[in-house]
Amino acid sequence: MSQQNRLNKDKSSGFIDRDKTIHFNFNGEQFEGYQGDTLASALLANDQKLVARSFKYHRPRGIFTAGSEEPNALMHLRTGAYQEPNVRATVAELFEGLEARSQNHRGSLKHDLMAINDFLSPFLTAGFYYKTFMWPKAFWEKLYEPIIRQSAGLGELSGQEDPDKYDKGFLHCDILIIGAGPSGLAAALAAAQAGSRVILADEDFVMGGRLNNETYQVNEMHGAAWAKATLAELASMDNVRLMKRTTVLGAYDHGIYSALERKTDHLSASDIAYNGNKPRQVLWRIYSKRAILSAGSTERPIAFPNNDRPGVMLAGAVRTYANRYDVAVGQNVSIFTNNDDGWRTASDLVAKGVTVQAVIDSRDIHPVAEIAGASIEMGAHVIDTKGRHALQSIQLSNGKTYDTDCLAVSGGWNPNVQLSCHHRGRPQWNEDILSFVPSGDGSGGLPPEMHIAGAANGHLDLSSALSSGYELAKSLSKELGNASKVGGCPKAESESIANSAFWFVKTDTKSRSWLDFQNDVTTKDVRLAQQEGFTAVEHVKRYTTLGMATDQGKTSNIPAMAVMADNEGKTIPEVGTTIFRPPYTPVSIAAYAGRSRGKEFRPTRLTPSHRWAKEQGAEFVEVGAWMRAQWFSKDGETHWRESVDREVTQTRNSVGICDVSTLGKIDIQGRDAGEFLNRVYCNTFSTLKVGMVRYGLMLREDGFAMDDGTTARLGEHHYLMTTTTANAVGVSRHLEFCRQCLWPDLDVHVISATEQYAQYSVAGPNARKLLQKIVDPEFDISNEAFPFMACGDITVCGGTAARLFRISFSGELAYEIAVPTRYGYSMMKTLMQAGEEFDAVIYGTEALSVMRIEKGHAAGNELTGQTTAHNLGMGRMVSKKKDSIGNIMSERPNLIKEDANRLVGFVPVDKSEKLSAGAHFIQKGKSAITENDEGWMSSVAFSPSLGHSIGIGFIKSGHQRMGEIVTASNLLQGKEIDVEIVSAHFIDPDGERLRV
Amino acid sequence: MSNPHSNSSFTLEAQTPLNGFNQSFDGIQVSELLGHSLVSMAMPEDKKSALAENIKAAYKTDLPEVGKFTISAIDNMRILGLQQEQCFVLFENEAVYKNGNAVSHIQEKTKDAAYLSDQSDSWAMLKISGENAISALERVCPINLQPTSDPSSFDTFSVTRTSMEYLGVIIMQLSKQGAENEYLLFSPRSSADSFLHMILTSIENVS
Repeated sequence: MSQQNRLNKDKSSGFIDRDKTIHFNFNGEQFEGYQGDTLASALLANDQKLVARSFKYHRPRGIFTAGSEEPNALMHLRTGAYQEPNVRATVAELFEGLEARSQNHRGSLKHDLMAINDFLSPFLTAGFYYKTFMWPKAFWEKLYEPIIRQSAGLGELSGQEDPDKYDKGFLHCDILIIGAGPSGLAAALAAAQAGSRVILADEDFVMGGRLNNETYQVNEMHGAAWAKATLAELASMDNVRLMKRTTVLGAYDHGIYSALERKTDHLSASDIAYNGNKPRQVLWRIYSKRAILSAGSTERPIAFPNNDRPGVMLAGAVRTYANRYDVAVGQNVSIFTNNDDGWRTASDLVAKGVTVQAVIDSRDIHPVAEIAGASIEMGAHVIDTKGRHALQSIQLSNGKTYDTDCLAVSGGWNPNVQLSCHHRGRPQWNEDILSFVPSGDGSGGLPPEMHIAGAANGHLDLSSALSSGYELAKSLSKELGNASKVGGCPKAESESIANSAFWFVKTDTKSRSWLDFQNDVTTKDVRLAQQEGFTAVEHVKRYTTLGMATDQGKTSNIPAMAVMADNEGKTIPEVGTTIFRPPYTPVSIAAYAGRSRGKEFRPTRLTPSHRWAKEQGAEFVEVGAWMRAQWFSKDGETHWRESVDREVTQTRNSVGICDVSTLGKIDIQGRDAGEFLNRVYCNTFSTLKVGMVRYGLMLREDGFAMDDGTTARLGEHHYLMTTTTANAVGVSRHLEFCRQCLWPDLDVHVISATEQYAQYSVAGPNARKLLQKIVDPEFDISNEAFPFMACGDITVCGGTAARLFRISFSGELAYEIAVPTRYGYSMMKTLMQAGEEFDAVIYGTEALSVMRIEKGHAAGNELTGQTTAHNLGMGRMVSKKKDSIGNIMSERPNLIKEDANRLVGFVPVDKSEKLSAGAHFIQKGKSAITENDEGWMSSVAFSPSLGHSIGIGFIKSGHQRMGEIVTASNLLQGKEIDVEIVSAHFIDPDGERLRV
Repeated sequence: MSNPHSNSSFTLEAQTPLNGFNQSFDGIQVSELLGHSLVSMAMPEDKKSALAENIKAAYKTDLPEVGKFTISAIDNMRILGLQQEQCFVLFENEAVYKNGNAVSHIQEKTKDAAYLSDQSDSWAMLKISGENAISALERVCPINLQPTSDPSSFDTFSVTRTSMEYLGVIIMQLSKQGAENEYLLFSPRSSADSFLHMILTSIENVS
């Protein structure tokens, strides 16, 4: 029979739409529900009591709650790559075609092979894994660990890439209201009417909180109707943003909150496709001036033996299923309570026509109400339950037994304080409601400008909840200067919330009373942990796993603290709470990633010639965010080395062109620009003539090399600095710091010009001839008129402004020509076209690197942040005629000692050997151990010019050891090669080629 | 988007960062800003007054506060107050693809009271407007674009640097408050493709 537990079959009540039947599948079986159901309510409507297995003992478990605190009913939802594990059925909206599977069992849900664990429970107590699996040692990796890994965890991932889309976003408001229950709605209405910009967020798909689950009256109408009317009014206001299906996850600095909005989780695959495959979830960062936490409260259970059977539920949930979903979770319900609120479940169920078998109240007081047809047991408690896959009967402390298929348990209500503690605040004990409430303002701990309203602040009765939200919002709006006229405070009767401190049933040592249903933690486990010395609440948590996993102990923490307190002879506040951290409820990793996945992980920077390089079949390499051409393969080339060797050889023999636009370019202007450069570079720049370029080395404060590059003097007060590609941003930031903080008196201004110019290196004996074809004839670039290290503004191709620098990284006659980036693509093509008669070659970063190693130029591998000017053989560049950053610290004795590492060249003794970067130098005959380490190989290349492998690196007193043979030991490769120490300048050591 | 130049043998053709992108979506229009030059204008402390006078004389407008921009009908110019001592000058320049005249054009007005640097090729410039523009931008832009009565709100004549999806972005509010939302975004040219993709993804996700 379909939906046999649905109440009021002839009429529509609650929040389900009986005109819209929804079909869904659970464990391969087809069921029906209605629009407005959760998966949990639909399963209960279809009398599916057994829906899960417990984590450790694989005990049968049923739905326990009606909200995000659910510890038991975790499901796999959807299939294939879309499968998501550990979804709480209590918050999963039902949709057409939904496929759900129970998890954590082998074999069927009903006949779980792993249920044997329950019989082994005496051996699986808290911390058993710390004491077992020790012997025999060899069994750990081969037997124990594989079994534990297979058994551990809850749901399973699909193992496939998540095909859903996710996004992030930013929102701003005057007042963020977290929770749209009675206090949240009252607050939102007051704040919005006052003129504040309001965001109202609620995790449910229907706003209204407990007003939708109860039969309360507000302003003389049904609470749910009042909520609906209030929401309609809020929705009509421009200054209000209503965000249902949105969970506020964390409270961060400066009034910032994170919130996850579930956009399409409630839609079928066809509906998602119909809506254009929009992001499934959006992770919002909400900036608020004030926040009102009106997150309500969560009911807590009472621990008693075998209290985990399917059919044992929280009392508030039982009446929620009846009132909101028209579902009777049992035909013969009993209630076990320690407070007045539990009686409300009984009366609501009777009003709905559900049989209430018994009301058991642990208090020895006069019955709170008359419940038609129910036995009333005052001063009694439940001491055991029976029923294998579902509850069948309960046994009471007074010896009575009741046959019942649902036991609704109420141990009182806990304010949802979690978000109020995200700044390490510790909640305070409130004896009136026997629970923790957020620490008040001024006692430290509440996130700044967070305020608490309603049940979250201990106002558990409806009237107080409404007025607290209303008054708070009015007051905060006034603080923010929003004081428009506000309507009156909504009115409601105050219901009784009297309760008692009855947390658990004391039993013999054999019985198991569950505290944490999700992690299978019992009162026995907590006692054991404390017996074994784990007395602090945080230690008990770690030892027993209490309060971990998806529910984070929302229903278990307070009862467990009561057990701890009882064991230690303390009060609950003396035991204290554990630390609350974001997120409030589980968030998929994909939501945190948002759209930053795969190629969209970060932006990509493309050089001006990128498109051209791609057309030429370039192989690209990521250099930071840049994509740079590594080499350009030609037909017939089967190995990258062939391409690189060709590019080097052709450049050295004729002319090669390389895109060097990625180098940092910083425009520096001001009357004190020269002095500024004197201070940031270790060598002098104020004396540089206009129209000339100088190599510069920049040190850090500690005297180590920071970056290098050339700087051109374009005018009396105008320089252009170049930096390495990797350090472009860092150097720019450093210059701004120096300018603004160290020397604000200097008249100097800097701005990045990296993106402004497309810059190409034109290198090789025919470089000048090539350039003369495109540089406009009025500009003389002969050696005499435009010597090595000259620079200047020119025009090319009939009037296009450009800059020319005669500098060389390759060691050849070379220039770098810069044009505005808009001409970058065209310039690349033009250079190659102009170079055709010289057989010009395009070369990539590999050839660039080969040529700079052949020339002995330092690059990133040498400027590691751990090398000095002295190490690099540039000690004399550190001018003592002036001060500069790092100048003094670079003179520390240990940095300039005679046997310090020096940059030199290395060639293999056997020229057929291949050198490897990272090899360490050991004196011949000594063993490769740290004590004998003399330095390391920093860069290597195969030199097509020399026909063998070459390298540069650092070795003690290298400059005085020319010709010495040492061993280059690479322990990672298990390779030792004899190498000869040589000059780092393998090609043209006197620099003749540069100056022709 | 080109304007060829040549000497006897060779021709250089200009390309804009976004190839003149121009498209309409559901309630959102996106187009590359063309025909404009952008010049960085650094202001020496001792010449601020002189610069302000020169700007006033030439463009009949004031230097902006940081976070605001001022406008002039001459050259349809906007001066963007991005930080102390530095503004960007955005202006219509028909000659932008013909020669590198941007700095000299401004220098004629500022004389020697500012240090100028051409930034025209440094940025991809994108205009986004329409009733749904804010919805798209709130997926990537941390700035509060909603009109509020707060004096510090980002409203007409506001400009600021920010970051969107790891990209540095300058955003300007072009339209008057209450009128159709219109924003101008600048992001570094080398990552123009990522920039446009970021904006289009945002539009796709909300429209």
